[in-house]
This record gives sequence, C-alpha cells and structure tokens, in this order.
Amino acid sequence: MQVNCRLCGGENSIHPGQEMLFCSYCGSALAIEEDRGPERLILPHDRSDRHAEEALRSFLAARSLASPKDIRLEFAYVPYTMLEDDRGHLFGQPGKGVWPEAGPLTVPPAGSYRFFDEPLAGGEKVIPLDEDPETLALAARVLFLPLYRVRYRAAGKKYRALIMGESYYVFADVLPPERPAPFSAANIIAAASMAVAYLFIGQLGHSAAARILVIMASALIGWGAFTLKARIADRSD
Amino acid sequence: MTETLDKARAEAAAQDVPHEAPASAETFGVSCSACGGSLRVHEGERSIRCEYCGAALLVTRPRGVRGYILDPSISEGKARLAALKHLSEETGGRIKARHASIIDLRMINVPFWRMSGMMAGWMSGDEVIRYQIEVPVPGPEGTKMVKRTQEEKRPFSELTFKRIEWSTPACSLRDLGLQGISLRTQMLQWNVFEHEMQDRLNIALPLKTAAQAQSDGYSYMTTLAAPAGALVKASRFELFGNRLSIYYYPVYVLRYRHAGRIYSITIDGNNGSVIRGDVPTWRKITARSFFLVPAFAAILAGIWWPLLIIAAAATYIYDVAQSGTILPPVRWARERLERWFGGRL
Repeated sequence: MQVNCRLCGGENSIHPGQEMLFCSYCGSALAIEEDRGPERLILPHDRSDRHAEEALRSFLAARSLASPKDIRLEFAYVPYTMLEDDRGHLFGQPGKGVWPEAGPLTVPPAGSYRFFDEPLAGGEKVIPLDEDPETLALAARVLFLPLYRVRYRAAGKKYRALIMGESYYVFADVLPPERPAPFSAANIIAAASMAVAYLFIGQLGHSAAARILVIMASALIGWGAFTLKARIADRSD
Repeated sequence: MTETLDKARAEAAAQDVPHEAPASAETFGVSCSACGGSLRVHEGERSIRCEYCGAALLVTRPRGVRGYILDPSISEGKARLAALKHLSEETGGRIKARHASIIDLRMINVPFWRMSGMMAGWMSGDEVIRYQIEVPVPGPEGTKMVKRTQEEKRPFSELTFKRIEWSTPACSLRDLGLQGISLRTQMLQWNVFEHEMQDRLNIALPLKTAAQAQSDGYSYMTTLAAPAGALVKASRFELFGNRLSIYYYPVYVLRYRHAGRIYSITIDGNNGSVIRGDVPTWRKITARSFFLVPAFAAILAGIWWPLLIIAAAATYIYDVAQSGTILPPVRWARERLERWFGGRL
C-alpha cells in the first residue's frame, strides 16, 4: 500500500502492521493515521492441485478412512472478515456469497500476508467481499485466504471438504466410513496356525467341557502375555 | 479528514467490486512539540530527546509496538538433518532419509507477544482448604475410626507486588505445533525488526492484536497472583512499566511424504531441536481378536466342525443386518479378516 508523506508529498510503500515510517525522500518520521478501517490482506499462494489432493488423501489416511476417488478441485481467494467474539477471541467470518461449506474460521494460517492487490492473486479467482458496512466497521481485518473446494467420492458416496492453502489444513464436516487396516496374509496364516494349535491343546481335555476350558485358558494366557509384552515395549520407547 | 474517509469507505462498500484495497492511507508527521523539528522515532519508542532543541519528549501517538527479530543460528541443511534424524529415531530406524521424500522446507518467523512489567494490587476471596480427619463410626464390631476429607472456606485478602513476564504466540499455529510454548528471550541476539524485512523473509503476520495480547496478559497475571484453589471475588491490579513488544522467532517447517501421507516436522531455528515431529505410526493389531478369534474357532471345530460354517453364516447375517445392504460374500470375508487381523503385530 502507498502512503504520501505529509511534508514533501513523496510516495512510500508500507507493510501490513506498520504504524510508522521514515519518508524515503525527505527522511521525516511519519505515523500512519490509525483510523483507516480494516486492512485488506491477502495470503499469496502458489496453487498446487496435486498438493491439495495429497493433503486430502493424507487427512483421510491418518484417520483410517476410506480413500477418495474422482477428486474435483476448485480454487479461489475467499474473503474472511476477522471479528472479535464475546470472549475477545478473533475469528474469521466468511463473506456472503462465499462457498456454503465455508464456516467460521478460528485459525487463519500463519504466513506472509500482503496488502490486498489483484496481481498478488496470480490470475486466480477472487471472490469479492460482500459484507454490510456495519460489520465491516467492527472488523479488525479482512483476509483473502487461498482455499480449495474439494468434491470427492469415497465408499460409493459423495463428500465435500475445504482445504486451506499454505497450511494445507483440511476442513470437513461429514467424513467417509472407516477403512480397515491393509490385508496381511502373514497375520491370517499366523491366526490359522494358532487355531490349529488350540485344537491340539484341546486334545489334553478328556471331556468336551474340559477341552473348552483348556482352550480358553491357553487363549487368555497368550493374550495376557502379548498385552504385557506390548506394554513393556511401549514403556521402553 | 475522518468524515471524508468514512464517506469514501461507505461508497466503496456500496459498490459491486469493493475488494480493492484503499490505494493509500493518510499520514501525519511526528515532530517535536517544543521546536517543531522532525523527529527520528522508531516504532514503539516512548521517550526520546529532540536532536534539535534537546527537549525530553514522550511519544503519545502513534502507539506502535517495538519489534525484535532473531536470525536463525542453524542453516537450512542442518534443520533438514535434524528433522531426518528425528524421523529415523522415532520410527526405530524403519524410515531413513531415502524412504521419505521431502516436499518443502520453509523458514517462518513466528511472532510472539511479550509483556513485562511490575504488577501491584490486591485481591480478596475465599481460600478452599482441604484436610483429613478421623471420625468414629459405630459398627457391629464396636466403633471404628474412619478417615474423611473435609473442606473449609477461609476468607483471604492479599497484597501482591511482583515482577511479571509473559509471552504468547501472536498467531494461531495449530499446523506448526507451537501451541502453548512460551518464548525464551534471554541470552539471544535479538535485532530490531523493520517492516521492510517482510519483503525478503517469510514473516508470519500477528493475527492477535496488541489490545488482545494486553488483555490476555492481564488475565494471566490475575490467575498467577491468586493462591492455588482460591476463589477470587474481588481484585484490583495495576501494571507499572508495562512494556508490550513483539518478538519474531525463527522456525523451520519440513514437510515430507511417506507411503501416500504427508507429515511435518517443526525445528527450532535457534538451537535445532525438534519442536514437534509428526512421524508415521502403524496400526497395531488388537491382541484380543488375534488370540480369542482362533480360540473360538478351535472350540467350535472341536465340538462339531460344521459349527464353524454356521458361525460364519451368523456373522455374515449380523453384518448385513448392521449395514442394511447385501454385501458381496467375498468382499465381506475380506473386510472381516482385515478388521480382525489387519495391522502390525
């Protein structure tokens, strides 16, 4: 953003958060008028659909959820009006006309914000700010944040999510169902041989009830030993 | 001046394309009140001496904030090494540098608000004291002594006078894992922060305003001053020599990919230690199913082997009833086995 020197009229550029500067022409100390309304800032972001897609896959994989298919992405800079709630915490309220999935934002991404300027969007879509003047007067700032809107299919159903650029944080209300751990042939062979072993152990009993008791006892002993071993291993980590 | 500005803003808001930033902001000169000379005031400076007439001056406007920045003392390469070492150690050597592909490594200067000063004041309220007593309880075998905890409220009033120092991240850093850490400012070579540095460094903008930081700091101090377990009913505090400043601390963030997932490791740019490290973990098999399912199968087979088939059919019917759709038997068998025996031993 440009400011004019009060004394020589020279044009100086300032940065977000700056309150004072020295004129680059005449060197005089200048303070920036405090009452100039909310700053409009943008978080420039190099759009990367591949990274956004990976972020979504990673997000679902971390929660052991079904993997996404037919991922479709849209990208835009979305205006959030930063307001204070009753407890004095800042939150971002998406402007009107913004994607319906976008809800209030509690954690804007950390990054190098710049004063809003069309070229900083790099030719990407910018959703215009549409907010009442009264709300805007209360706002601390207006942030244009890079946001991916994602639609995907998982386990035969359609889902939606939003991904914040720069931090690649994923916002999703509805999540696909859980995905079981990968199929492991070794585990299944081990389990089958255990079943056979139990059958042999069962032969020690003379009656049906005794066989059942022997098998149950050995299973419980095995389970206990395994759990104990896992606990010890966890503690030594 | 303000009137015309408001008008222009209202007009801009009424227009269809209001997202254009105001092209310029108004400024005012900072000059000596005694001789009128232009002063060299840095942001956040409160008291200065006029270089022309020598008058001691107190700066009332602008109320800027002093900023400090720390240069990273470890290089990017060192940060990368520290992150990979952490990765290898945390996974027990299973993942080494060649198994993880690094997506990016960035240095971010993270802002922290820091407040220091002398706090003086008083507070009053109730102090809750818990103590144990022995009470005689009559029973069938005579009277027994039983321990009981009793609570007592005692009114208290206290005068406090102490030096305080408080810091908080000025932006929310859930993605960096920097929540709840405080800043150590001692023994470090802090430089004065200039706004021009924003052009060449990746400096995170403080999203928490100075006023918010002040009020956060104030409420922190009140909780600190109260004795443990006390109920403060009334208090009044003053903070003397209150200085709020902003510190930009260097942090490296390394993101890497392993087996289709993205993880990130945050490295302290000053001492190279790992602040937070995200490493792959493997889902452990539940020992219960691993021991009890084969045992159950063995019991059924031992009694009468067709019971196994009956049990499998019963499980299938149960799963179909649960999901509400007819599952293809092969897919169902696979999913069942995965649920019981998937993961690492």
